[in-house]
Amino acid sequence: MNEGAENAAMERDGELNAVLDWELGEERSGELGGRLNDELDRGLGAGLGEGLGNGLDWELGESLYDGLGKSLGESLHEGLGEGLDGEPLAEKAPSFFRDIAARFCRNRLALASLCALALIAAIAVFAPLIAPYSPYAGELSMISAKPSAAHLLGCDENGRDVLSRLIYGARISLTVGFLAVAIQTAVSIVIGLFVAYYGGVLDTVVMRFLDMLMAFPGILLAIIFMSVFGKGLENAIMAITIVGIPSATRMVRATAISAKESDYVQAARAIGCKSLSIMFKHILPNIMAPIIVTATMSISGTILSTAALGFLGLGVQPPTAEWGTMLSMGKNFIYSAPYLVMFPGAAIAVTILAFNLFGDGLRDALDPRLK
Amino acid sequence: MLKFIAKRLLQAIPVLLGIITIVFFVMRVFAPDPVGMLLGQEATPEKIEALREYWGLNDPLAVQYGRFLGQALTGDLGTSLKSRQPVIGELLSRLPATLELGLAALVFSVVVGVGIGVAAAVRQNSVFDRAAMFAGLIGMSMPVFWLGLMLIIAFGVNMGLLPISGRIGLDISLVRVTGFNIIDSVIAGNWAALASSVKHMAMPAFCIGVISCASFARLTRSTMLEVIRQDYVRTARSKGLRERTVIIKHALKNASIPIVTYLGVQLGSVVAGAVLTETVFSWPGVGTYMVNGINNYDYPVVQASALILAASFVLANLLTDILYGYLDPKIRKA
Repeated sequence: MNEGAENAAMERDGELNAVLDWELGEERSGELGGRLNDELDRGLGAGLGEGLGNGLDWELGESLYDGLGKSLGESLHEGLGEGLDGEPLAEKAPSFFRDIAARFCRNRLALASLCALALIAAIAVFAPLIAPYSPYAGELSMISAKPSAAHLLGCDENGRDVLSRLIYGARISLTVGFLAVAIQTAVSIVIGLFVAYYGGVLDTVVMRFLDMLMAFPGILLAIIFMSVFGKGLENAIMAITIVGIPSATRMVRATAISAKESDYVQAARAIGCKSLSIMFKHILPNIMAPIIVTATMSISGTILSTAALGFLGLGVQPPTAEWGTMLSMGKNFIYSAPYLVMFPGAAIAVTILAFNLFGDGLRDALDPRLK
Repeated sequence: MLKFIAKRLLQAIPVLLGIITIVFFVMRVFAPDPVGMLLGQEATPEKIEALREYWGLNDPLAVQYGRFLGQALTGDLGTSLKSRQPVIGELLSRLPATLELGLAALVFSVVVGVGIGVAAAVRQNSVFDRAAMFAGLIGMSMPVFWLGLMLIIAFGVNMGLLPISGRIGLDISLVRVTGFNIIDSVIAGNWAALASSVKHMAMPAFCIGVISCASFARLTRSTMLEVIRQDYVRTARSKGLRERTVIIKHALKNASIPIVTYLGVQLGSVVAGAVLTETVFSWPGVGTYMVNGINNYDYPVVQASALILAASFVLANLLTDILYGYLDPKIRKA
């Protein structure tokens, strides 16, 4: 084995140890990691690709096989094979995240959407620095003023600068989008893991209840909740979060059930891991990829629902600058000032399109089988 | 087939009961006291107590639930707090408007979406294919309420081509038979009414249908691409059948099963689109009724509209299921 191959092997060992730590937690990684490493070493010495492939398989579970196991396995196979034949290793095998990043970047549309999202996020964060005017202070002389050099997108019925309100509106949309998705993902992970792990009556009861919630079209359920919670931003976040929980839980449960049967869970149980630690330390990291994809994909729906509630007059209340509410106010002036409707809607559409494209790209990069 | 339909009908019953239960508990447990809302400034403790007793709000929750269930099953959905009319009557007079609009949107989205999808699949990677798929991507990201407002600006305000609100011209009288304007005007032979109804429906139906249309186009394209490569399609071609026959009779028929499945998924977006789009175009349907109910704190109205919309969604899904069983014997026998 030449120097390059040895280096590569050492690097790989390090990487696998890191993965092991991630999977097993520190206390276990010593004990089990030692055993796994022995096996890996044997695999590496023997003829490589397959032994490692198995090790990785065992480690990562089926859900990630295509995305990670295969590509890592294959590249390792190639790299090590070449190394053994006496050829210098051209480049080192890509890591998990680098691999995903590389695949994501090959998708130009997805890359463009990422840039667009970064721009929107920057606009939201630096709103006070970017916005040319205050989003709340109106000028009497500028009521319903047409777009001009001073006010690029015109002014609304209260003489407030539309561009500044749109810039501040990005804050609300993104906050609600991320917050609602974060909460619903967290809740659905907990419920999904528990029902998948324990199964039985718990599973049946919880899932039938969630199925019933899913019998309502999403926005209808959100409207029902808003009608009883009352209008406003916090209630809108709450309603939108609840509405998203059933489908997210279903997804977590389905992937967790298949992960539950894998060898690494059996192994964890065999060495006496507690149920909680199996659920959250072993199963969860291995089903994270589809969860992240689903969460990203649901951000656009969440932003759309926020805007829809705002448009119906049930969401964020004026004078707060929110895109849907701006649309709802603007529609009263559709004859005299159509631009009051055009721009906020365009902002919603562009943001949703960017999130959809980004979600598609991320899905293809993380798990090409889902394409 | 009959057995299959009966089985599906039975399966829908617990779902409908579940919907009634969820609506009841959400509205009764979380909602603010409707009595205080209704009486407003006239509220005195005695009046509130009398009204609570009258409405049975002082009974235990289980009793209230049983009564609500019994009433809902016999078609009594309560009385509107605002108009003091039975909700069921108001709903039934508005339901045909929503159904007519939803059906028109669905027909539009299936016909146009499947058509575009087939055309794109046949000319895979052509300019048309790429343009159609990109347009589909944009269509799927379009907020329906914004699209509606943009259509109003373009075709209603600027060009003056289409009416921007309502179901039928104010100067046209139409005898109500079924409540479906198009059917009613054909029955009466009233062609002016028919033209007016179609014109009023054009923008809202397009608006609701466009998202589903985009999804159908993308789905049809990908299933067709799979089917076109099958042996039986090659056999059909080599028999010397016309290309059109091969595509429509052999390929599309086999690609129709996933498309029909997707129909069930899309019904939800039609119902949701109806609520939002009716608000944009002041369409006198269940959606506007519900939104007005929320703004008036009229809980029986909200409750009943939610029930009707969710129930029609479930029933429409049931029809899709039955259609699915009809198309695919494997499902029926399973």
